[in-house]
Amino acid sequence: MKRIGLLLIAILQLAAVTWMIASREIVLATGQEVKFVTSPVDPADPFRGRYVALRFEAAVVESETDLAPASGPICAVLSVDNDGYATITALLADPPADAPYITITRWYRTWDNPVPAEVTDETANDVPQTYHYALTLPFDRYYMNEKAAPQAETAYREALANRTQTAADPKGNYLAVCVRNGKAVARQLYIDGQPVEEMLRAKSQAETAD
Amino acid sequence: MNTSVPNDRPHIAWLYRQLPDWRSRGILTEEAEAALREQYGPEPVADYRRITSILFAALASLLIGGGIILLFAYNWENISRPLRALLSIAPLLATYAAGYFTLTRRQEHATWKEGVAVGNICALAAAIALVGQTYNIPGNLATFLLTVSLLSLPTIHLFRSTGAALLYLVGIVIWRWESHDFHHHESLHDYALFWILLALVIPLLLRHLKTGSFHASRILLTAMIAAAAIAMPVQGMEEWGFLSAYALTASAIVATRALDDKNALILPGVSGLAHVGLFVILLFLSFGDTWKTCNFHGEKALGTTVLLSALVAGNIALWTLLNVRRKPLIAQSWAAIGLATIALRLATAEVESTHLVTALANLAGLALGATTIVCGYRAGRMGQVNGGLVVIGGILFMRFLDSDMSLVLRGCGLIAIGIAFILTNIILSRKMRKEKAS
Repeated sequence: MKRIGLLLIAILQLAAVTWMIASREIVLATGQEVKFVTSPVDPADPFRGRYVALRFEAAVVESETDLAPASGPICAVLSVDNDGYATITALLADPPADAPYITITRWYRTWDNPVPAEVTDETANDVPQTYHYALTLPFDRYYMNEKAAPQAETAYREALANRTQTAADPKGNYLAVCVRNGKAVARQLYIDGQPVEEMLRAKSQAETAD
Repeated sequence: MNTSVPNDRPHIAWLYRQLPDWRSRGILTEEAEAALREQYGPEPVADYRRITSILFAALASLLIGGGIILLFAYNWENISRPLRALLSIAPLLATYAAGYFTLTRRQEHATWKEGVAVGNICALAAAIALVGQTYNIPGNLATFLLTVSLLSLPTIHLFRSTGAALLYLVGIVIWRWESHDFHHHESLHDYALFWILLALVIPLLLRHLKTGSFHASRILLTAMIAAAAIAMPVQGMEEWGFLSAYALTASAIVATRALDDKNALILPGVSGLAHVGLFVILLFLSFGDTWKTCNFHGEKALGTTVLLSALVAGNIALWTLLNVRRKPLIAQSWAAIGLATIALRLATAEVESTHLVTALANLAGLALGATTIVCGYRAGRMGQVNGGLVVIGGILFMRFLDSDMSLVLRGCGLIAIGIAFILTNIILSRKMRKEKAS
């Protein structure tokens, strides 16, 4: 009887862990790969522990019309350009039929409603508003080996600083994400267009050669 | 073995160590020694040895599991993602193998069961964390802890592991604090889930009680009470809600200890803490402002009402038992604080002015202190006498702080209380010594 109990425990626990693995492997294997441009994080500490904390330009959406439903999870519809970079063009309550999308469970909305002096109560509803949506994308970190992390931190800051100073192509720093049926799995972080691990290896070799 | 004697291994072990010496000195006859051994049963294995071996087993599980993970971590980046995922599960599979061995060959060994159960929970947590790292899954400590805790429950009950249960309790307490939204409204099920998770350990506690594992029962019950107490502030109760809950819980602890102090399920330290807690609550209740805040709304009110009702029912049952079994007045008095708090609050809820209820609360506190002094004196227990003096002194001290008296007068008043405290101590202890001598 107890052995059956142990078997059931093994099935339950393994099923939970296996589901975590399988659901993400399916997305990585069959999902559409898109790129999300990373935006600067707090330069004092972009790394917490052994991972890179990431923020994305696409996570902030502005619109003249109210895109999202009142509350609850939403579907962030993606528009992908020729280079594979994604932006969020719509926020829907239900999944779209033909476009890639990501399910967002945490988000909030604010709006600007400047009211000129001449506006009366009757005309208040006609005042144009700008809606701002801050979305918590389901991929806010990239784990790295703890020895490589400090080197990656330096490289990451330099890459972001270069972006500001030289107005270099800002799309050199991005996270490659696989998307399928609303689920998103981070695959690779790129700095200056290179996978971060390769970039660090090349940098290390260059420094050794010097 | 006579079931009415204390089932307390350390005391029985101590007694057995004394017997040879007593027999050699003529204090006991051989027949008397045999009768005692028959009364208390076979010599118990020293608790500390058993607990130490269990702790070492659990520690060994953690160290072995951690070592294996670190070996993998050395070359982690060069391992492919699917292989990393499989290696994450490896320690978990090892615990199943160890579990099978334990259930088939070491079923009666608590050391093995505790070690395997703790190892399984740690391996499970490590597996989920490593998979999260492999797939860059956004971190959420609350979700992680809740997942691990829920998946650990079958392990806890299958192996009847107190160590695993303690890990579980730590997990759910941290989960509750992490998941609490300090800025937004939480619904009833957010609060109820914690109590349900806590209650899921009760079958293990009952099992320990049934099998006479008294030490394990005590530890588990103490941990459950601590878990409830630590989580209470984030359980959506307004100040009065968790003040009442703490008062009722502490009263229940005091009553339970008093009901069966020989086979005490409540550790002496826990009972002592409960007394201190009740004293602190009495001090809070002696202030008028405490009685002003009592507004429950909506779902929070329902949750608070359900919890307090359950605690009140439990307190009434325990206090009635104390009364029926004619336990000492001091025990009944302290055990009644929780009920008295609720009763006073309900009786004066509609009264706008708090002066009456505050005065009653202060009088009740002083009366409790006086009762404690008198009972302590009669029983010859200076500790109880001092406890009563502390209660009275504390309430008077609070009144000094609360009043509009000048600093000089307050200072003089405090000095007077301190002197009265010392003099009372000296006088009563001399009287008690004289009475004992005579």
